[in-house]
Order: sequence, then C-alpha cells, then structure tokens
Amino acid sequence: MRPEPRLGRRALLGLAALLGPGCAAEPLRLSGAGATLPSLYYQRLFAAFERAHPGLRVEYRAVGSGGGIRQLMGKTIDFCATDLPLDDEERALVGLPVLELPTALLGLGLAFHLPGVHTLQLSRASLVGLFAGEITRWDDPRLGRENPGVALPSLPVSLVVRSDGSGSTAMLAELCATIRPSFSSEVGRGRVVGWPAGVGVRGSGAVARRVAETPGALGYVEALQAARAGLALAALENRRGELVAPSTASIEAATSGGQRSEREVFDVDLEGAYPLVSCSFVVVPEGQAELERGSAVARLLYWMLGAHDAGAEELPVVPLPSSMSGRARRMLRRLHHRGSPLLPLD
Amino acid sequence: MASLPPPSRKALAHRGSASGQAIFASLARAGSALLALATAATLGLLVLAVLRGPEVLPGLASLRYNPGTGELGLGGLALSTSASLLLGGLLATPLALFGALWLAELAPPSVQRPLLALLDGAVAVPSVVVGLWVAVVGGAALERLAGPGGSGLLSAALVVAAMSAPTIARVAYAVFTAVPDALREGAIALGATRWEAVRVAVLPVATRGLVGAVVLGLARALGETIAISMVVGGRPSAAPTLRGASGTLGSVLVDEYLDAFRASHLATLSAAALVLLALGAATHLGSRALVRGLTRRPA
Repeated sequence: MRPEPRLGRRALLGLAALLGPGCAAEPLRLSGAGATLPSLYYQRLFAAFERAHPGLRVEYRAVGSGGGIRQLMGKTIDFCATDLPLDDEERALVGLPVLELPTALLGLGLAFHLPGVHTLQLSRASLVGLFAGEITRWDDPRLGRENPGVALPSLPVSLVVRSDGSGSTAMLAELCATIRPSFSSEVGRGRVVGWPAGVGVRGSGAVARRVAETPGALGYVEALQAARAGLALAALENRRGELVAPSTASIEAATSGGQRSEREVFDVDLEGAYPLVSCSFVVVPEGQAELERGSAVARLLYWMLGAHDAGAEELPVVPLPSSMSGRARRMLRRLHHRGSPLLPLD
Repeated sequence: MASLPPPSRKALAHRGSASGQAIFASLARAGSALLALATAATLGLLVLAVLRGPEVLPGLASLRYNPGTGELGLGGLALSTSASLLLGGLLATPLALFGALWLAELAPPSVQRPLLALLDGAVAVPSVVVGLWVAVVGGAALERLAGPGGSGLLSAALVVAAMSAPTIARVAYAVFTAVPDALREGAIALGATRWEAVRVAVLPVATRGLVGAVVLGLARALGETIAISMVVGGRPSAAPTLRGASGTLGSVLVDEYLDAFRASHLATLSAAALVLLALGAATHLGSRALVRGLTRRPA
C-alpha cells in the first residue's frame, strides 16, 4: 500500500499551501491616495501603524487631492486624503455618504525673495493686488506704506504659482475671493485658476526653489516647511486687522475658537490667528462593504487620530489639538458594515 | 491557397523561402492590424472620455482656458502649440539642412567623422535633458526677449528646435550621401563648381527625402510634453502670447490630468489630447502635399 501515505502527504501539503498565505504570509493591504502636502506625515504614521499591527499594510500614493477623489469615485482605494474640505460638488461626485476626518493642520505661507529684506507685511488689499497682477513692483507706494522702515527694492514682482492642480492654489484663491468677491469670476477658484501674472511650476518644491533663485519673487508654499528651508515668509493681515506671521502657534490659534466644524479654521476672526490655515482630511465611505477590510480601516483611522507623537516637529503639518482629534474619533462611530458599527461605541 | 493539399515535408524543405515569405507576410499583416487596432482604441477611448462631459463641446473652440472660472476653450492652446512648433521648425530646419549639406558635400573627412558621431549622440539625447538645458541656459539668455525667467513660447520653440535639429540633420545627411556620385561627377564634368553641382544635381533629387527629414524631426517635437512644460511657464490661461509665461496642449495635459476629477475638466483634457493628435495628422498630411508639390516642379 504505497500510494496512500503519499496521498496523505500531498493532501497535507495542499492544506498547508491553502492556509499558509491566509494565516501568516499575506497581510491585509489597505490603500489610500491623495494630497501630496501631508504625504510625508502620513507615510510616517502608516509605517508606525504597520509596526504596531503586523497583519496590516497601508499603501499611500501622493497623486494630489483631485486624483484621490477620482480614485475614491472609482472605488479602487479605501480612503483618499485632501488638503481642503470637500465642497458640495465634490461630495456629489463621490456619490456616497463619506466621513471627512481632520488629521492635521497646515498653513500656507507667502514666500518672498527680496535682497536685504527679511520681514514683509501685507494688508488684505495688497495681497489681492499682488496676486491679481495690479501691484507689479516692489517699490509700489501701497507696499511702502505698510512696511515703514523697510527699504523695498526697485524690482518687478515675479509671481511664482502652481501649474498643477493644488489645494494650495485653492486656498489662496479662496482668501483672495473672500477679500474681493470679483476675484473668483476674474481669476477663478478651485485647484486650477488663471493667475493673471507670473510663472507656473509643478509642485510646491519647485515653487520654493524658484522663489529662492529669483530676486523679486513671491510664491505660495506650505509655511512650516518653507520657513525651515530658510525662505522668508510674509506676515498677513487676518480678519481682525492684525498682522500675523505663520508659525506653529499662529496656525494653532486658528482652532482656539471652539469651532463647531473643522471647516472653520480658514481665515477666522480670532486673536493672533494666521489666515491661510486649513485642515488635512482623510475621506472614507461611511458604509464599508467588507467586514474585515472595513474594521481594519476603522482601526487605522482610530489609531491615526490618536498618534500625536509621530515626529511632527520636522513635518509640514501641525498636529490637531486634542479637542479636534477627539471629536474626529467620535465621528468614526458612523463607520458601519451593513448597518452595524465597526468600532465599539466607547 | 487554402484549398491546396498540405505540402509534404520534402516539398516544404524545397520551398523554404516561399513558406518563410508567407510567415513574414502574415506577421506583417498581424502587426499592422494590431497597430490599427491600438490607434482606434486610443481614439475611441479619448472620444468616449470627451463625451462624458458633453457640455464642454460648444466652448472648446474659444481662446480662453481657465478651469477656475469654467472657461474651457482650447483654441488659444492649439494656437500656442502650433506657434511653438512653427517657430521651432523655422529655427531648426535651415540650420540642420545647411549643416547636413556641408557635412555631406564639403567637410573634410577628418572633421566629418567626429562630427557625425557627435550628431548621432545628439539624436539620442532624452527630451528631459533638452528641457533642462533650455530651462537653465536658454532661460537666462531669453530673459530680456521672453519676459521673467525666460519662460514662454520662445523657450518652447527653442526646445522644439533643439529636439528636432539633430534628427533633421542626421536624416538629411543620409539623404545627401544616398545621391549617386555619378550625378555630381556629371555636373562637374560639364564645368559646374562644387556648389553648382550640389544645386543642380543633388538638391532636386534629394528634395523628397529632405522634407521627410524635417517631418521626422518635427514629429519628435510635436508630441513632446515634458520638456516643453518645463520651459513654457505653466500659465495656460495666458495661452496665445509670445511674451511671458504661457501653456500648450501638451503642458496642460501633463500639468492637470493627474489631479483633475470634474467631468467637464477631464473631458476638456481628453479633447486637448485629440486636438494634439489632429495637429500631428495635419502636419503629416501637409508635408506630404508639400513633397508632392516640390517633386513635380523640377520634372
């Protein structure tokens, strides 16, 4: 009776092959895509999450917020990340109920390159004037009045803008439109607008480089990273009329009003608050089709919203204040699989 | 052919070249069918993508392009794309043709060989390198003419010229050397100078090939996006302008496609790809008409 043990061994091997990948080798892969600005922060968070959860892997592709929304619409990813809250049109495009969870704060800085000038103050009117292409020289008397004691050079203003779709563009255009309503019909609003002057480059790194290379340049880049890279950033007039330079403190000050929603950090009427502040969001469908995947997504997001010690001091984001992350964690209760919540209600 | 009985092994061995020919013919047929299919599929996909946002169709011919205000006209971008191609072609063609003529007809052999090797190297330079070179060197040089940073259509034309000139010169050189020596010798025997021999005997024969060389060179530059987007200035809303930053159909595609998600925006970008294809086809057909006109006259 020789065939029998061989058959038994083969069956055993087959069983092992079937179980093997499911049990130990093959981890569950979650995937996300979207905003480039916070991607470094996310990559670090996800790496720490993977170390703490050996059975789970998280892939994140920084394709831009718009690309993330497109992939979420196509249901090819588990979550997308944006650096602005979704507007009504975007929410309608996604087409299913989604949670928008704030993950971090970011500030947009106006970087300038003026030989011998280290501080620059811009009123709301001058800010729009510069980006509407009306103030074309640095020695314009309007800028001179706002910067007493500063010898502004006789140089043309070289605007450096983004040529690719970007949340930074959307944020600056939104502030300009808040200050001057006609701005949105003349220059536009959203992730791609028709700046009336300047040169467009791809990516915020290219903006920073171009500003650093060009005397007379003015561009918009993520504030904390630009400051760390040695670029000079302008102080902007906030809604209260105060001139505020971007810093971790002035970005956090935008959240100190006990907002009802995470949308209300942009251009707030609060003391010491920098105006160009936004939240980064992770957008995830409320209803999860697969139980195992859905609960892994819930665990990942719950963990992300509690991870404040991921070395954010070298990153281009400011961690959320605990009141906001606590509220975001409570929002996670709305994640469900066929009506039953995926997180225990604490 | 299908009704013939299968040939015996011996017959096959005997008619080896014939069956090889059949295999080659069917391979060629399959290859061209595959090419046609791929082209049709690409066209179909693009048309489908455009039809997903049909509301953009009436405005496509407008000159103004600004997704921020919902103006999605491609006319200005098509103009600036053609302008950069035309300018680049005008810059590259005489330079490359005269260079090739000199190299083929007049250059001493000791200069000819190293220059040819250099030319072969230049043909193989990746477009990104050309873009970088124009951005760094050309940008500074063009600052006064083209506006701040030198970005704009003039720099884009420079990229087109830098990309197409080596190809034009290399192909034109091959065309000149393919002209039989007997023609030159005949002209010289009749008392023509070397230059007259070129003008009377070589150029009329070479015309068709030279137009082919120019088309081949420009074709390489027409579809070019990355190198042009590096120098054109990334401001497509200012499209049909020679001074200052601008944009082309290709630069808009490469800048905006990845992040676009609105149906109207995606449809416009797909339409931009179609217009780019149409421009390529028009260049090709135009050059064929040119060849026909040119080759009829001397005869």
